[in-house]
Amino acid sequence: MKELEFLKEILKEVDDIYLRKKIEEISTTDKLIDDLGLDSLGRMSLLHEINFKLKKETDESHLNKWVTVSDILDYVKVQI
Amino acid sequence: MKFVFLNLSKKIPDSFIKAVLQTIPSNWEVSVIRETQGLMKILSNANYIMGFSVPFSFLKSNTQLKGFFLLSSQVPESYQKLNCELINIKGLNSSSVAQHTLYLTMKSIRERTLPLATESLTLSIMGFGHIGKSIFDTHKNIFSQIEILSRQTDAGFPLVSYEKRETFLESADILIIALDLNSETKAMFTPKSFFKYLKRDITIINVARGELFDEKSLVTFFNKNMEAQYLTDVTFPEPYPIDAPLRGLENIFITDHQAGFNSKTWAKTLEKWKAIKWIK
Repeated sequence: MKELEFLKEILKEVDDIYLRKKIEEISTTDKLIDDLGLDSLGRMSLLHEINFKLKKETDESHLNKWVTVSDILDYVKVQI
Repeated sequence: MKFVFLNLSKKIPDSFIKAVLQTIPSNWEVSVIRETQGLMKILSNANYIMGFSVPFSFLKSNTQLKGFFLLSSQVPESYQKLNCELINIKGLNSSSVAQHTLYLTMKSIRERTLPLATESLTLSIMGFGHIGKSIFDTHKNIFSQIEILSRQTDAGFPLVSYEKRETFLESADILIIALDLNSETKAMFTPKSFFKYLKRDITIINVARGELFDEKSLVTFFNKNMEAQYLTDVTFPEPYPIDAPLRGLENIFITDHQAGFNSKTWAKTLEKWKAIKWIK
């Protein structure tokens, strides 16, 4: 899945978003808070990095819909 | 000018915030931020920021940032990419961190059915910067055997070099971690490079950074070795969730990242702030 690879690529490039899991082990069903340990700053930081890469404006309202990795991938799919 | 005071952790005393705000020139725009919502936008055009660090992503698009006054002794590695003045409180909070470390050390050896005798223990300190030195000073009259791992060579007494790290880890009864977080130090705490050398009843005290350890490795080690203890002032993430894995273990004790600050630290930090040229 190209969106998942895109996400993993971003996580590899950014050195201050810390994850509980190794990037290679991230799966689409992982919960952002419980499984990956992403706090609100981490989620917001990730949103900004995705938009920065895609050259899009950051709209924080999307964060409310992000529960699992799959939700991020849906967001990336729409933005691409 | 736009000044942003970050208090996302809500741990900064109101009296300190008030005192800082009183020093800000009256023609500056001031924001005190306590929530992450809208943070990206607020930080995108700030000129000066004071607070604990935020991920680099929040600052990378800000081309007007002139200065960040960090309320921590460490500057994140990624901040070196910022084209602004970075000020931290290195040295100001080391005494407070050392006192908190002593509290954790004493808790680990006294809160037992049979308290341990410090004379028979090897206290090992990883890191000999401002904080490592203060920790050494507060512990040196209690422990007769202290080993310090450091790259420094001019301490005036023998330190253990990084090349002899394995032997250093093998002999530790109480291991205090006072290292900066960077790619080199993070790689030092994997199961293969760290946990496999430790005594099964070791006490680890972490006053450095939660990110140094992988949570899964900690849970595995302390689940398997119930005689070992982990006392930490730092976790990842912070605040550490109520139902997070480390909280479920009896041999793990967590304080809420409070080591660096006592009443004196805030006063010293305010003095340092007042002396910088931004607000003159």
